[in-house]
Amino acid sequence: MAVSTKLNDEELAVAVRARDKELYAEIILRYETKLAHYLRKYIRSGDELDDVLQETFIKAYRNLFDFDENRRFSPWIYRIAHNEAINHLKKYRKEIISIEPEELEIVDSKLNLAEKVDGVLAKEKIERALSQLKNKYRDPLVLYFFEQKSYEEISDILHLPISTVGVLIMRGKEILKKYLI
Amino acid sequence: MVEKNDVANKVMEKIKGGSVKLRSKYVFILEKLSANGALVLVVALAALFFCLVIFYLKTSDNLAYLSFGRRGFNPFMQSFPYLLCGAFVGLIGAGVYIFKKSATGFQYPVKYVITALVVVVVAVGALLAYIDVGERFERRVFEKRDFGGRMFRPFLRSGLDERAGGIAGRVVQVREGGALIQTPRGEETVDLTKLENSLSENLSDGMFIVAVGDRRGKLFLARAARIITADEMPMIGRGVNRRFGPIPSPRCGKSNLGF
Repeated sequence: MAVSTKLNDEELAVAVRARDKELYAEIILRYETKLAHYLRKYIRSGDELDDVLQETFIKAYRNLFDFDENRRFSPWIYRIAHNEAINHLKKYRKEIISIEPEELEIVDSKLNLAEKVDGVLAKEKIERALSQLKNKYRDPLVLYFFEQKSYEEISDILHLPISTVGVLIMRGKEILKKYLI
Repeated sequence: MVEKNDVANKVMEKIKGGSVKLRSKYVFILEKLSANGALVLVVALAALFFCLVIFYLKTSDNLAYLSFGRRGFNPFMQSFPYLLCGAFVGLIGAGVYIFKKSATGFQYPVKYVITALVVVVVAVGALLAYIDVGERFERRVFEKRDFGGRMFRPFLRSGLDERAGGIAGRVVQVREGGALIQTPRGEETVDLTKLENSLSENLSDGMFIVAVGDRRGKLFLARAARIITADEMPMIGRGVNRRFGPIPSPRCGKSNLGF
């Protein structure tokens, strides 16, 4: 396992499919928390979240040969997680987006709302506002705000041109501001 | 919520147990090759259809009707190659879809993909038109009874179909107040007594004319007509030749089609 920790994600993926499937545990270790954090935006129930997370890792493993080692691994597995989350929501219901208390500050700072909103932004208010956004605005905003992804990574995850990602984030922010002010 | 690492344990158990396996790399290679092959096929077909649209407009009677002004609008619409144009647009749409679904296609905005695809298709289509692929296709479609000919026939057939408001063909018999003409569908009688314009020269056998007006049963009542050369609408000329032979046969006596 010591060798595996020295490999980057892309090398690790290549190693898993070439020689040692047990190395996949290291990939799970690296992405379990990150993907759970991302999926929690869409799925509140802990059990359902674990199911979707498990399905994400299984799907990623099955399709490991589809991963192009010349590209980054992170957007590739995030895309699988994103698709799984969307499929889950389609199958069951649309939930209100859930954000952590510490993420309130991110929204506050990125939208520059501090002075315009009365008092501290209510967690519920932001969650409701995010949930009311159309998916095409919400998905890039979630990745940009809470997963700290770059435009390029969001482009890879959502399969959208980078310029479109920029436009959607900008418009999403404007719509979100209108909801919140 | 289950304990941390429980997901990892469950997934690794399934992998080690063999219930979850890597899909073969050949499956993905095959998928990519199929997608690329489909894209090439769609682009090639789109180029061919573009070439056929150009060919149709250039060689059929379609555009000639516009020279009659408002009166020519109906036959122009009737003879327009809707199926060819529809297939062309559909193939461009399919090409854009396949490209956008490819591994890196999503990076490019749709408008750029459409523009690039149209430029490529138009360039290749123009090249095909330049080397007379359209004419070869027309021959195959109307002269051969094989699968390719049958498959493409519906796309070009409207070039030779009957139009309610227009007619084009070769004069085989000039009569008082009209003429008997050969069209790709058969012989038809054209009444020229109600012509609102005058013909540039007197009609004679072997001339080609195009006219707009109204169809009254077997008789076509021309309101406006124009003498043309066979080169102006070679698709009609070839259609007539295929049906009646290249040289109009000498005719005697009255036709049973009127006058």
